[in-house]
Amino acid sequence: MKHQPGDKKFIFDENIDKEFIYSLYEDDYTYITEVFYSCLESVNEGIPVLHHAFELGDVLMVKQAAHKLKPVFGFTGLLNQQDTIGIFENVCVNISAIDVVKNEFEELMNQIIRGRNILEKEGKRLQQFTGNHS
Amino acid sequence: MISCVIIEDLKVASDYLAKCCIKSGEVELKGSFPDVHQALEFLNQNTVDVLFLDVEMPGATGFELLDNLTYSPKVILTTSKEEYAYNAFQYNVADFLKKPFTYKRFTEALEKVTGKTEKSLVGNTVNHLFIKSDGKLIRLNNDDILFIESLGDYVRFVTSNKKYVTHNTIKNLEDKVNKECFMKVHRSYIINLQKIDDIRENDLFINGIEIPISKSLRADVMKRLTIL
Repeated sequence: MKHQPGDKKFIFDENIDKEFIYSLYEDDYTYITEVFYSCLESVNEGIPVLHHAFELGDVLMVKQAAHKLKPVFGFTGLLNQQDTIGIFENVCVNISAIDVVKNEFEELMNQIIRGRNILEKEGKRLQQFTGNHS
Repeated sequence: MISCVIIEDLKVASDYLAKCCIKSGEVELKGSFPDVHQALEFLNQNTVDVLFLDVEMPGATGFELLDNLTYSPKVILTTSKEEYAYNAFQYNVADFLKKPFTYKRFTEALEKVTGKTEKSLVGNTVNHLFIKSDGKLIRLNNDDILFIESLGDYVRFVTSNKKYVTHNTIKNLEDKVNKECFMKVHRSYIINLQKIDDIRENDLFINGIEIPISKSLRADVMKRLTIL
């Protein structure tokens, strides 16, 4: 019988689009684990940059910092986070002062933190999973 | 094999691309750079067939890299923003990979490039070239170029009535110019074979200008001449 991605099941967090994950990496769980850790690192680096840009009130900088985080969530199947950032980026195109999007920014940060926590949790679970199956 | 470099500041994206390149078996990855500055340093010394290029990076954008490159490899943009499509068109980008992309999508992009690079892989036989000088692309017909002279990190294209300085090296140009017309005769000179007026010992003359011939290249130069 042909081996299908996902046969050696890892149950991803419900917020992660597992089909999307398998479409990118098949069931190479060792690599998926690396991806999750690499993305977690990028998010941890990106969050203070985004905060700082917001505090400076620099719309372009905020937009760029958010933009950098978008594919990080994409690569880990956190597509809601990816979409939220995309929407926020588009909002930023039409504003000149950052205060206008204060509420949207708060919601964005909540989503990003939520995503970050999922990454951290799933990274640890994946590491444990690959350890048990190696 | 197609040679390529990855210019991408997001590590996960860069690693994923590298993995795709290896998996394809068709692409030799020459380097991976997190910003335009480091990539330009490499690309000014080395030529590659394809760039996998992110757009928004710290310091300078991918388009700024293309503005500063002295030759034109095929470009596959890797970005998460579709709004760059118009610029991509302007820069004659071969394909546009929206991050994250599947391996299948990667191979589709590669196929486009493979088709496009076939011509360059068999050698440049066109009768003109474009150089970047004074902030613009200038077309020079092979017939108009007398010789190309090294100026360190720059080269001077000499025609009968004008000189153009551009950021490049003789080493890089040696592979890029039409070899039917041009030949490297010295580490600092590529000459147009049709323009030689006379040869004396270890020098040749074009329009009254003396150009040295390397001892190691002299025999090759003589072979290219029709001597009766």
